[in-house]
Amino acid sequence: MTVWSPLAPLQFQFPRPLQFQFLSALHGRGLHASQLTHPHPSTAAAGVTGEMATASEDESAPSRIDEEDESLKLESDVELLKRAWQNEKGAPEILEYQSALVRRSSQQIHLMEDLIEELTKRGDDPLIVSIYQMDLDRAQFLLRSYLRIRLQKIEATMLHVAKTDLWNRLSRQEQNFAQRCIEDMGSHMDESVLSKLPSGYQSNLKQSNASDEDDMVPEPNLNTFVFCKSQNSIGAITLDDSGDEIVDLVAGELYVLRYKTIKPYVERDYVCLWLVKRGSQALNCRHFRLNSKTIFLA
Amino acid sequence: MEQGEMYGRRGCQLVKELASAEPGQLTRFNDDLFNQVIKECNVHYSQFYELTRKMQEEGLDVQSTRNADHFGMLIHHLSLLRNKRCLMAYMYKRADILRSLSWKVGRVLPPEIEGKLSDIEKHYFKNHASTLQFYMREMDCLDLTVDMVPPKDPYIKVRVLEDIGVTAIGDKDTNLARHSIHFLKCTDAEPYIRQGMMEELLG
Repeated sequence: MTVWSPLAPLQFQFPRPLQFQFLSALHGRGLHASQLTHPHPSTAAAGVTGEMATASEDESAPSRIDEEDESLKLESDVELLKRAWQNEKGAPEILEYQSALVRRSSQQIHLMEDLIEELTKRGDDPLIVSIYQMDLDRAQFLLRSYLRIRLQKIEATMLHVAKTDLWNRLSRQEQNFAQRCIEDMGSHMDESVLSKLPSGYQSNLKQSNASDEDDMVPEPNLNTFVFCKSQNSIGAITLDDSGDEIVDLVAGELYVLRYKTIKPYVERDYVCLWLVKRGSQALNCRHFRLNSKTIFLA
Repeated sequence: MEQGEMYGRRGCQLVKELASAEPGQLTRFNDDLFNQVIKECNVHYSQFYELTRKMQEEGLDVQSTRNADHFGMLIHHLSLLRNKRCLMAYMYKRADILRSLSWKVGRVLPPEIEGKLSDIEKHYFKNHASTLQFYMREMDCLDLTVDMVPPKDPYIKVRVLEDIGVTAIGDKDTNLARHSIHFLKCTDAEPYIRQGMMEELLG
């Protein structure tokens, strides 16, 4: 399978990823393989259309209509999941939990798994089955990575999350997880350090009884720089509190800014955080002068 | 503490030990030094208490008077805080490494790492691993410890490094004998690769 060069464009790093639309594009619609968005060998095309003829005959009309609606929903869900994953990965603090999206995605992943099993049992063209499998793998990776990143953020800042209204951004299961993490960590610190220290210094949250507030709880650094892009032009936003520096966010341009300045836009989904590979497209990014220090990109 | 011993030096040594280790690697839990720092904290506290008592006997207000005793108390208090910070940093950083380990190896610690931990740390590792398992079970048994890198190909060629024997891979039983080469699904091979029992054959 790996020697097939036409499969190379289907790899994850390719800008236009294979989406669930592929599933609907081939299965049950009788589309010609040339309508696919990337090249493939003519032998595979013949195989595909051959298969498609038999497949469409087996499908009853109502299920085909269902699948068309499914396909429209499926396409946007993968995009949404990818964007949620990118934002979560780029942001220094935890973002709102996309519960409906996660629920839908896991349902669709289960459906895909059943479908692939059915196709393998039917003995369909292994090339098609492996393409579906790749699509499924990538969707699964997105979902797993999204949940994983959130858990790791919770682990790193568990006390802070519990104290502030970031708690409301967690799902019920994540709240349980965070609660247990705090208990585990609390008892760990107690047993090893705090119980052996003199009284008045045994708190996990305060340095000593003399502290006014919980000064031992670290907070995520909202001033980290992030790469971002917006779909539509947003216009001028202030870069610091005094309102001296203003930057214009134009649609489709890549910017590097402090997370704090675009935080409200990310939360409302106007701006999307971007993951940039070291040394690559970063050179096309705009440089910003911030307090007369220009930011240079590697 | 001996005469002329600098306050906080042992705490600093503890932290330096942490910093000098390879990133993500653990050193042996330094029981000795750890207990010495705790003893130092308690000595600070008893001296702090002594000075408080002395000021009270002299009839001075402990909160507002600014004499030599007050500043002595301040130094003891701040040294105590410093030591507390060093101790907490030591434990917390090690706990951090343990947590990232539980993502990689699951519930069972490899013996060479287990030997470096204190009993309390082993207990913490178990707790955290079970917390993670609990979450994954709540999310319909979605295993979050596999699929750590974006998938490139659905199937990869692997060579088995250790004798694993006949295991069920997917719905078939395969004989994973040493040095045998197999063509497996990525998700099936991943746990073995991570434990070092298989290696991926590239090219």
